[in-house]
Amino acid sequence: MRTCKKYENLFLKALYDDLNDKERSQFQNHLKECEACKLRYNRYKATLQIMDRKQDQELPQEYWDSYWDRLLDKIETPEKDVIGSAPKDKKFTIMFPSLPSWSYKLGFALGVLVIGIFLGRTIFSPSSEPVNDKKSSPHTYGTMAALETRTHRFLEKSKILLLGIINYDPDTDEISSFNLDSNREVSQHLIQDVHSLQEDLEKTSQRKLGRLISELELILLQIANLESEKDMEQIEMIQSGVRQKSILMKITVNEMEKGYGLHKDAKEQNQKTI
Amino acid sequence: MIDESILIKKINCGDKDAFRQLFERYTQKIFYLSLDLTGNHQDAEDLSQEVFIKMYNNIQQFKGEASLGSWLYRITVNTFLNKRNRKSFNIIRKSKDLDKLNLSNEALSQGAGREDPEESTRSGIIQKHINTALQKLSKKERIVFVLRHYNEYPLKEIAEQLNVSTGTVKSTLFRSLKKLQKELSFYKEEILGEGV
Repeated sequence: MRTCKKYENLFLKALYDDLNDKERSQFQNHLKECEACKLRYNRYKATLQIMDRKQDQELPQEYWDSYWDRLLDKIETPEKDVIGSAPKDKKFTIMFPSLPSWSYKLGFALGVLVIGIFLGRTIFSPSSEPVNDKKSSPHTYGTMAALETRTHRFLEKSKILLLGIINYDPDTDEISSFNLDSNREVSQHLIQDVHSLQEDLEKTSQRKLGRLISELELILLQIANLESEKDMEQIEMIQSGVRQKSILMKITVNEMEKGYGLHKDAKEQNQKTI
Repeated sequence: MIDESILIKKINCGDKDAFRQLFERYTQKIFYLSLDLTGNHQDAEDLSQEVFIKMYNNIQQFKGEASLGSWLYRITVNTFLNKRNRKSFNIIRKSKDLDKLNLSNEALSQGAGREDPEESTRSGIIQKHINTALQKLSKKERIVFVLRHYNEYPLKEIAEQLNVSTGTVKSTLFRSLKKLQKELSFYKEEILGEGV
């Protein structure tokens, strides 16, 4: 029986002709001796032969001719739900392909600068700030502190969620201990914060943290899309993704860098007073 | 034929013709991969077009470490995995697209255009069974099976595409094979009877 298990591990390699000479010879000898393995192997092989009978459906040329037009339609008038957010400079260049793309980027940057100056002078001018009339920049400091708190909370929630999933073992744990609805809900809430958080981190040049949030987003999407707590394949993939990208370690390192942990409460208290 | 790297540079400068040339090289590959994954023509078009739009918008991120084909396959797989959330939207789009194309899935899947009607019907039925069996697999199982079996991707590359270990890919492939065997059990005797 133990021998059969050993050869079962070679089934896939044999089916896809990936065995080396030694393995092939041992495998063939085993099949000659073991009727059960031979039958099972032949059934798998037969299944693949049926799958080989699949044919690509031939589509008429008119379909391919119009495919490009429909694609172009989508690029020029993007539907948000279907294609996500397309960079604006690309949309412009496809409308005006004769000008180089950098000219649009430059124009866009200048536009943002002008709007920024205008807003700065009209909305955030000293006369419109009745209370915060200090020489230093409390507004910027407050924003940074708020961003740090938001990021910390995001990472903390993600960490708790991921720890629950990483430690879930269906062989020893009850399925009921895996609260699918709650995990999905938390993931969905966190995903909603990702975009704004990334934007703010980008503005403050915290790119490393931004990358961690991006990696987390993929994992959170997988959790939000979990269909069943019995879907071990998907849960294993999530666990494997978290481990391979060392997500939990990165969160911990970030906490250490930012001085959370022992000083966390004091720091949060300090932020509340700002 | 113009080198792909030159076309990529041109696309980065907003050259639509270069995009079209690159698109024409990969349309059918990406479309048929999408068709294997989604199981129907409308979703395959949506998925494959989304892949090309992502290619157009993100081509500057392509560093040429892997082939452009592998990069597009990776985008296809990831887009397919994350597509679940937009199901309801796609349902609305389906009827619109069908009207526009004047094509039906049934006509396509039944192998329309074959000369022998009996053979055509038989082939159409087999295609339908194969397609149904594929759709019984989970998304990840389908990706692994389609990449390995129909696109001859090595397990290691599939693992890289999915960001998992080779062992996970192996067990997923084996699980998908078991499921397919179960789904197609009524054919099995026929083939085994021919002395496999």
